[in-house]
Amino acid sequence: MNELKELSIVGKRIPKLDAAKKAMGRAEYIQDIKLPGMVYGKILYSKYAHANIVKIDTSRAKALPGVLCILTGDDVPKKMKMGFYKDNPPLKKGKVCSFRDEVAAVAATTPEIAKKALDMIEIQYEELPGIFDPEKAMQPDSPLVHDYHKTNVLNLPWKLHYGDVEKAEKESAFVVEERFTTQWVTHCCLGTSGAIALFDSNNNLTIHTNTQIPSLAQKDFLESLKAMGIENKRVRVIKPIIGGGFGSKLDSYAYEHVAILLAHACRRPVKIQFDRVEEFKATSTRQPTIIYIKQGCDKNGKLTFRDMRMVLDNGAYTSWGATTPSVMMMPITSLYRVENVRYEAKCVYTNNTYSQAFRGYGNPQATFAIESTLDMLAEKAGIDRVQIRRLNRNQPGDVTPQGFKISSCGLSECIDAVEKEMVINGPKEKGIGYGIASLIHVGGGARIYKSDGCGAILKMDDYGKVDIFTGGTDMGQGMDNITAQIVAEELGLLVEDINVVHSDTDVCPWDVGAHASRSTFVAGNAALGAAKKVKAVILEEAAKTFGVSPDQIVMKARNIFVPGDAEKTMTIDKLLRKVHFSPQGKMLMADYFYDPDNENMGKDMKGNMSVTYAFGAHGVKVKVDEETGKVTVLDYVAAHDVGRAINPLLLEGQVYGGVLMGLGYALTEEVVVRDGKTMNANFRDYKLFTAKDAIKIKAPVVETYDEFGPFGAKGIGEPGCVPTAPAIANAVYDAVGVRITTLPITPEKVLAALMEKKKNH
Amino acid sequence: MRLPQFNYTGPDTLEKALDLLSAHAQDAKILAGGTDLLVRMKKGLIAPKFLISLKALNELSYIKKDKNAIRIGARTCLADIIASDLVQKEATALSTACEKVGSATIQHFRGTIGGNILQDNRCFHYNQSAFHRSGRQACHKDGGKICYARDESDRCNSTCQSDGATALMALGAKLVLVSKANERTVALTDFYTTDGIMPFAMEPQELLKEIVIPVEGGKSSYQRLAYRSAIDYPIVCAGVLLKASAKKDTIDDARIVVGAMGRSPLFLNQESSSLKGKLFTDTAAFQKAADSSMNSAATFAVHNVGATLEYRCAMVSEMVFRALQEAAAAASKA
Repeated sequence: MNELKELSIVGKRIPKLDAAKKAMGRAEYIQDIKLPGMVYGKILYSKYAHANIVKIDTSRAKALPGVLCILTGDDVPKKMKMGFYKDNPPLKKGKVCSFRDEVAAVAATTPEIAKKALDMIEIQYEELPGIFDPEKAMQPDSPLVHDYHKTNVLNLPWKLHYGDVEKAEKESAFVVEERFTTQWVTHCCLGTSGAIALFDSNNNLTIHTNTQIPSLAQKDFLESLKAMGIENKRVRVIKPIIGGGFGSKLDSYAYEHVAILLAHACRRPVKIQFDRVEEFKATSTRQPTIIYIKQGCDKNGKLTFRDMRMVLDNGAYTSWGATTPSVMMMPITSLYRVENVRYEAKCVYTNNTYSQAFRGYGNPQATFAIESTLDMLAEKAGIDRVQIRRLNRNQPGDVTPQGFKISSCGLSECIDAVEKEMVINGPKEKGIGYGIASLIHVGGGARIYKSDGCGAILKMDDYGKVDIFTGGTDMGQGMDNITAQIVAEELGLLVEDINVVHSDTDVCPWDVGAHASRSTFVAGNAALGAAKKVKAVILEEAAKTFGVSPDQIVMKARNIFVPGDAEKTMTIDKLLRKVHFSPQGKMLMADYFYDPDNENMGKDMKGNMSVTYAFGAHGVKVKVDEETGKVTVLDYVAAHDVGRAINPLLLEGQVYGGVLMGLGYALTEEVVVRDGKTMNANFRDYKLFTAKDAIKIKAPVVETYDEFGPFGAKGIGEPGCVPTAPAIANAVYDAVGVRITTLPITPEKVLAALMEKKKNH
Repeated sequence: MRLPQFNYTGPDTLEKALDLLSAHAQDAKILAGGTDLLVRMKKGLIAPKFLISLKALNELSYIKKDKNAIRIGARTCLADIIASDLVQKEATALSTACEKVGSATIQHFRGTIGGNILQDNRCFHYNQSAFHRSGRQACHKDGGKICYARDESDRCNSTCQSDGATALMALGAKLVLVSKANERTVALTDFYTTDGIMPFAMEPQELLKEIVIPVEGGKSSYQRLAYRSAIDYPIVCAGVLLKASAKKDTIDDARIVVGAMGRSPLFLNQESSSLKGKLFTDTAAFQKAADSSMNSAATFAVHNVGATLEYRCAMVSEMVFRALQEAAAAASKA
């Protein structure tokens, strides 16, 4: 393909630009930041899953020397509510609805005094019956989590029906039906959460906070200020280096709003920093689900319909977890060609913790059910598992029932790549099994907000160096590298010539946030757009100097020249100085706002959410110990259609990380919650994969060159963890003939299923 | 989660250490590697006033063999034991057990064999942060009167999850305990109280000095089950020792120990005796002993280490069976 020609910087394995800084301990995390006059805030959480607050006595705590202020729900303005459903005040009043409910907050001169003050706050509760099962919470006689809401079922529009599912079911040759459940898992960011809020003398707010969404967080904080009666002021959001995002920082949290309230009350910079227990208990999880699915095919294996219904445990409050059905719709309507689809999801209040965005945003849950039942269907229809996937695969030019326009699509090539590394249907030893599962994900932005845009401002100095101020947010994924490589490629410079400035709303343009695998595509296109504008001016100036037309000029390796003419060459920095220090001189700078040509979903949930879609297929070989039920992963292939790899090194890192996260989801990870209480809030009991559990992953890259992507690239942030669980579940079935329908696939569950199978034979 | 305040001392001779221990007995804790102690201190489970560090006490770090025994200094780090050919050959179960503890970094830089034996019993409900425990009544081990693991229980049901202790009990090991006034040797089987709050029959002024493993030509094996390859404590484990008769084809003596199921590793006398005189190839006898081990051990276990109780009980049999098979295979090769 002509478009995939070798480039100078793009496509090169350039290590992460901040790697040395991080390895040497020079990176400044929120934990490292200390501002003059800064004091420390701490939050008191509920002791019950559901209880009335009868009385709060803060008098003893207030009297403690070093305590500057104590706030309770009474001090929070009525309109200060978090989340898109606006049901979550930063400090609760009257009633607590979960163990993570914030009931009081303290600011003190040291963290130790703040902690001591928390212990001295006396709260009298009156315990209420809790509801912890979402299906029970839907019953009319269930206790209500929020009385004012009248029902535990949230009023959300998650429903679609395209084609005619009932008719298609009747006409299907084979139909399978199953119930699946998925668990709570948490992001396990190495850097715990934290924020520092401070007001200047004019009541303008600056907040340093661990966020993936500086611009939208700014909006949240402006709303909080407004609720506090502080209008028309500025909010500056600065994100320090963060130790992992994975979706966890896609909404603003209580601790950020509490820091603002405390800073305003005591007129000092206030820092709230989570310890690991808080990180486990008071940040949000992946959305747990109960999934009912039916899929059918004709006698040849062609999919005829897909019918899905879900119940989502919303927890006591609402954050982005409740909107994950909007992304679940993507695999449900568009993974493989299937004309008749129906889906409905109900989000139900319970007294459990509430969920957030998490890498894949609902896609892993839906794909678990879809890809597991696809194997069941293949078996029932007597069709090869790989064949049924090939037969129904998406293809370039497809428009899916939800209106997704598939531009480039390398699903077929991804399946080829998996088969090249692994014989899915080959002969095998006892206890060994192979599994395969595919994925579709947004790869060209995702229009879930009014804008899916990102701005970039680029300036060049007299020495051939570039500062690019991007709306994009780096959270460790490498947005800074990708931006630098794209700009360096376009302007014929080296990566070290590009300084990427990000994550400060005072200097950087607007961006909707680091989510939806959109940074490479959207922030990349924004940076490319700005670079192109500057390049046009440079070429024009060079054309005057060389006396040729701009299209004859090339910029490469810090030089600008006319190929084949040894006379017409100079260094880029020299040209820049020439342009600057001439009469009527100019400095080279440009801005660009890129908003992808994608669509918001309509009332019927139709709309081309992303400009392009990413595809992939994963293959896995497992060994199942039939006496203990333990599953060991022996080999893993994760093939992804990425459009084009801007940086193969970082790309592989994303895939490795995604797959390991997916393996934890599939096999070991679970936030154990008993009657609303988190029981394993530490890394010993929360079974995150350790280095010793990690396996070698093959990550073949399929390059399809997407015409809309920067240099042909599509997003790859999330896909790595999407089809992992069903690939494992399918491999376990292949190995020992038991179908595990609840995640994680623990040894207990496998063994119990094996026993059950033995009993029935 | 910072450490609470304490006084730190680092004696460089055993004598000085014992003096300090005798002076501060009730208020002091011995700090060897700290991988168990410091975590409990951070969680606010204990708050000793004095920590007596064994860091400088190199005289307690050794592995040596005399006539019929391997002697291991209590402060010997796990990595040294793993690296020892002697232990690997003569006390295989211990070598395997040490390999399973924590992670490579814990084995190399911190974890000691003494600390592994003396790690406190654990419980899913007790080994929690102060934050977690603050919202409820204290359990027996935390100074209260209730048990969260077993309803209505009048005592603590915490579980001993030491890999090392299970393997050592199978090997018939003895502990040498010293205090300023006394030195005594106690068989590991006699070292445990039946009290989950204070599981060890040890005086506060006593220090674990040495582990003595008799070497009488038996073959041992250690098997354990955990969710992950590192960090995790076993949810169930088994140590086995088989000694061959003079003719080498039958079992002269057997020791079966099941760990992570009760307040201490459980030496199963009856199951062990049942193998006497059996052929090394008698897998039916192994299976019978393993199944019987499951029944015996099950009575001690409560649901308090993460995995379901049903699963752990079922796995006792499997771990014992595998250990017997491995030890038998080694014995018949010898």
